[in-house]
Amino acid sequence: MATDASPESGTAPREPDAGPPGAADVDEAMQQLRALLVSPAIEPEREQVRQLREEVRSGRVDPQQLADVLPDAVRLSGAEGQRLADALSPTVDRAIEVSIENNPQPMIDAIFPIIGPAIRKAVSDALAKAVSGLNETLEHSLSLQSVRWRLEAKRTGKTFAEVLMLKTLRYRVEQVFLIHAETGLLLHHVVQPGVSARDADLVSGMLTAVTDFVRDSFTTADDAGAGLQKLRVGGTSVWVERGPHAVLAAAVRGEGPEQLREFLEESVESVHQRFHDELEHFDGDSAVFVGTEPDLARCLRSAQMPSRSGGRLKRWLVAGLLIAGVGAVAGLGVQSHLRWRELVRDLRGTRGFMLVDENHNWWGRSQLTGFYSVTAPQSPGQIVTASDVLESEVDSDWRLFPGLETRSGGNTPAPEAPVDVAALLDAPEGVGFASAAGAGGAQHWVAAGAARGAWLERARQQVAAGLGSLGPGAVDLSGVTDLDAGLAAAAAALADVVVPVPEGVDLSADLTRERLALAARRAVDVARLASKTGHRLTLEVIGHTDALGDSQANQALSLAQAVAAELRAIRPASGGGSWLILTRAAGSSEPLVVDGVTAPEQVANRRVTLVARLESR
Amino acid sequence: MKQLKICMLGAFAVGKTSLVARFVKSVFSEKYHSTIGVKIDKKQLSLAGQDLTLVLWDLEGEDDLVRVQMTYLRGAAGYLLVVDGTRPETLETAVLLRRRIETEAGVLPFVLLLNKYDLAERWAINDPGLLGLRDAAAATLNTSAKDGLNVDEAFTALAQAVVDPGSGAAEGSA
Ligand SMILES: Nc1nc2c(ncn2[C@@H]2O[C@H](COP(=O)(O)OP(=O)(O)OP(=O)(O)O)[C@@H](O)[C@H]2O)c(=O)[nH]1
Ligand SMILES: [Mg+2]
Repeated sequence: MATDASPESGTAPREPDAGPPGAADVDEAMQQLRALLVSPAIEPEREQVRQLREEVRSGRVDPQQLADVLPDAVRLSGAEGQRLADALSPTVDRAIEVSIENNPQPMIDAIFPIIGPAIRKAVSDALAKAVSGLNETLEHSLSLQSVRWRLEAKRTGKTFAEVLMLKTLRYRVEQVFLIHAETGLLLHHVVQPGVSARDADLVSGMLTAVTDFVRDSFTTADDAGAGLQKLRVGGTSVWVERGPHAVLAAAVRGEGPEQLREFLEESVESVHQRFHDELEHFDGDSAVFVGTEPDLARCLRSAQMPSRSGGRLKRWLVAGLLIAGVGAVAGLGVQSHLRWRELVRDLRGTRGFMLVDENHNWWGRSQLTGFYSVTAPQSPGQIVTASDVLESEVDSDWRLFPGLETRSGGNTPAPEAPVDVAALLDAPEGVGFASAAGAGGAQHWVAAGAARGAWLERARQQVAAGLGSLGPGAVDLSGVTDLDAGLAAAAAALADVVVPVPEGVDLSADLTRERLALAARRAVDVARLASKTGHRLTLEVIGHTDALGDSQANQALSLAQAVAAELRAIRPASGGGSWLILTRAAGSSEPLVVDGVTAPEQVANRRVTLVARLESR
Repeated sequence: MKQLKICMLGAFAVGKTSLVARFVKSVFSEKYHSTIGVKIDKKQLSLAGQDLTLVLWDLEGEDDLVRVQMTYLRGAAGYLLVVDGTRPETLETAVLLRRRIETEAGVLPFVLLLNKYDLAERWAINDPGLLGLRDAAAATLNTSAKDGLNVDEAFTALAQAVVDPGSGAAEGSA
């Protein structure tokens, strides 16, 4: 087929370059060939040839053909040497960069199983080495402490290095358990290398039994906190972080820092996020939960004790840097706190005031509750205004009490009440009573503050029935806020907030920021009240999108995640107990504007809403 | 591997802890240490080629002072209801316990054990219907934690009833 394929030769026949046969033969052959070439019968072939030439010249290639030959081509090129790899590597590098910029998660997921264990092994090797180094140094030193540790090693059957490590570590998370909340069955378990762990299934069951026991036995406790959060056994404490379906328990040796709580919270959130369906439909088979390993391993943290001798200069340097770095933020917090303390001192010290409850919240709004008398030199508002605390950041609940006399500098009413109303009513902290002569000289009290709904209910009945030697109605309870009702109201207020996200996952629009701040404030309110009423709070952040865009579910989830990240940032300063933030995509299934067909109407559906899930313990 | 949470329930001193010890560690002791709260143990089991882990919650026994907390039954797949064959009143406790479980924790498969069968001369239970429990139970077995009689069978019967509720589990010689 040389005649067809050679572009240089065009349609002209190529001269045979083999040795010349007879001239007549050549002539005859040429005749035949010419007849063939000019014959209209071969027109389709000529057309094909033309097309082929066209393709080759223009460089256009049929993708299907290319796909067929590419694998072989790559293999061949690989066998030949480096060239293909060299040519491709900048492109591949760039592709990876772009992919990571857009969404790092798949890459992280892919490399974590490789890197995670490697890092952990490296760290534990380094620690072990550090210890054995120290071990040698100390082996020859005769400090009293080293002798004591050596004795302890002998007594407990541990190696000297082990004792030393435990003594010089400020804390170490030794084991993390992921436990199915309902059954108490172990879902997954990670251990710090070198830590001897007891049977994790049994520990998991026992922990659940203990937390159940605590929950059942102390349900009436009014104090803050949602369920058991920490229990201590000797030098080890167990930190418990509950999610709706699974509980994370970390065995911590030494004094774990409070930030550890955040890691646990994040891990519980991540596990619930990634294994939502598996958790919901758990039937006793824990095999899939091996996938939670990265979330659990993240909590296996430790910190060395700051060395006591030497390194003073370095310490000062570090301290200096710290002050420079976080000083501004911390300074604000500290200042705000100092100002608040001063205000509280003023209120306590001023004649005519009785402060029942104060609650400083340096991120959100602070609260003041109490009585004041008409004889007071100033109104409460004036005192707050005169102080350095911003009046707009304080929620005050002051009740005017005509006959109230308070001793200057003290917090108790001057004429000592002959009847201890607080004791008779078994009043919780946060409720105060002021006594005064009522009509006709009968004793009369006014209460202020905040309490659980159940207590209020009971107290009202007691008062109505007559309290001790007092007649019915001797105590005015109308000034006591019902915390449970407050919580319900706060949760409802939070549910009312709609954070619009008009474009992409961009939260920078003014209205978006404004609503976000409102949502954060209300979430903090809910968290504070939940903590006071012994509820566990899970904040569900729900993303909704319009029905116009594609992949709405992903979009909605990214919206929710962006908002959740903002809320997580303020959570540590919220003043409430610990709470979880979970995200969910509602997609376009719960539209705000139902029959919006035009783009602007649909945009209104791109929003984030929040739901507070409260679980009483 | 599939895990099942299984609870041991019954009046005090009927042999709940002893049955678990026999099943898990193949040991028996005449000494009586009353269980306070709950103790957890586990044992692996193979059922029709499927490997199972039974996580056993050995609960405190019910008596005049102690009422078993029903929250311990949360998430349980089933329970062993243990009666002491030499003390008829423990059968009544079992009836009450089951009623409380069904109102507070829900209906769960259970296997009824008439324990201490080695003390045949002191056997004191002769109600054939066992106060209605026999019909409700997935199986009823005479057991002895001391001899090991029907102990493995009891746990297997319960696992069977949980995994495959349709299968009519074996009826023991009661
Ligand atoms: N002869 C005989 N004695 C038994 C048997 N099972 C248990 N016992 C004895 O009965 C006593 C109580 O046994 P436990 O297993 O502690 O009973 P329990 O139900 O766990 O008791 P509580 O934890 O208090 O509710 C112990 O002295 C046991 O040795 C049995 O099958 N035969
Ligand atoms: Mg027992």
